[in-house]
Amino acid sequence: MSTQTEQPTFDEWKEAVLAEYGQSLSMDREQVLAYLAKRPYPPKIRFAALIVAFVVILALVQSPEYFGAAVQFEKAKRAVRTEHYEAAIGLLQAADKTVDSPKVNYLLGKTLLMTGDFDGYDVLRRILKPTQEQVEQIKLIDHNLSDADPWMMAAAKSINGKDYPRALTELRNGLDILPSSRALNIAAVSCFAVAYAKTHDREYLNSYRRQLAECRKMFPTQTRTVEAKLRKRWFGGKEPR
Amino acid sequence: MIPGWLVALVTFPGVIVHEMGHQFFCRRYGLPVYSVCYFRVGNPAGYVIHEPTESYRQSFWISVGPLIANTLVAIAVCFPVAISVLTLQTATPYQWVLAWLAVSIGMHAFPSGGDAKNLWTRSKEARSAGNMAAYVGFPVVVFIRAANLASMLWFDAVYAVAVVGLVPNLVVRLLAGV
Repeated sequence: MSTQTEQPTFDEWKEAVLAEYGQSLSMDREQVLAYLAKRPYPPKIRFAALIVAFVVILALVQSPEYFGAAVQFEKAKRAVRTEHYEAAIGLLQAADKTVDSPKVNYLLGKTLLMTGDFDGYDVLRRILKPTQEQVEQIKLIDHNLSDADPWMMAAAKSINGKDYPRALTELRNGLDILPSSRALNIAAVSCFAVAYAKTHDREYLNSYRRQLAECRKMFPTQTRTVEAKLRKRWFGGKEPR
Repeated sequence: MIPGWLVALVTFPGVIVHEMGHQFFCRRYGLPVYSVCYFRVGNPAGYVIHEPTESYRQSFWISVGPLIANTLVAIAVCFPVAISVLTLQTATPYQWVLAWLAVSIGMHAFPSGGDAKNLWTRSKEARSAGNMAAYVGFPVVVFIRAANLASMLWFDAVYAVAVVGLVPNLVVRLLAGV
């Protein structure tokens, strides 16, 4: 005699389930089948779904400002790529008013450094705020700028400490490896201008003029804009003497 | 290697939505559902036992139900926070919670091996009966099988992050004209 318990077939099991439901709901077989065909979700599940829906709607109400900032950030990235730095700064500053994003900060800091429209602290605060991981992500986003990053960041740090010779050394080190980098060339001319304005050391003025001549040859359009900006910011709108 | 039950436990909302997806399509076709387990620590982590399907159409949609349900729900949950989390990196704790919820749901979008097997069998039957719709079922099963295999390499997580991040970023890029 076998002691093994036989497993019920699907139909046997189904009938047992229907009988159980019929008993607990006081329904006949057809009514139970109709009930199970529109089987409701359990109250706990419905309650959880309601809570999630509520939280999502709450987040949705707040989302336009993030979307607005992200749109400005995307436009700014494109403006940087196409060398419209003024437009990029405007967009990034607008985004910065809405959200405190490390990515916005970083791109704004770097763009400010490139155009010479900066003070050391502001650039440093923005450019060094992101973690290395975020810097790597920025590099992935913006290949045009990424190669110049280490020197730009080191220079920004030195500018903040008013250590202009060191900042220039950092930038020159970068230029030795990436001589045609627009970011580094423009940052170097900006750094000479700041250094001269702060120290009145004529050596810086000569270097500023030499670097400016280099930049004019390589990036005439952007250099005109940057030069005008540097003059206005550091030399009272005149040619430095 | 992280055990499957632990992954299911950490991403349990996805299991619940997955089973709700199957149940939704059973309700849609009026098929009695005899037993449902929305989540448990075990294998499988959830299940829906329903009346055998009467047509190929029912089999198809009940099998792929979670792919549709989990994907859509994941996108809806993450849409308002994806920009903060992924693009701007400004997420607050509660936005991270929604992001976790969305990724958990997205991770369980793919129908199980059992669903794929069932759809494969029904597709073969349908093809033998001359139902041209079966030819849609075969590549779907291949896709599900491939996704299940690739889930050993976290393809399910990659799919979830891609799905929840892609749509909001597309909207931003569209608005930015990039």
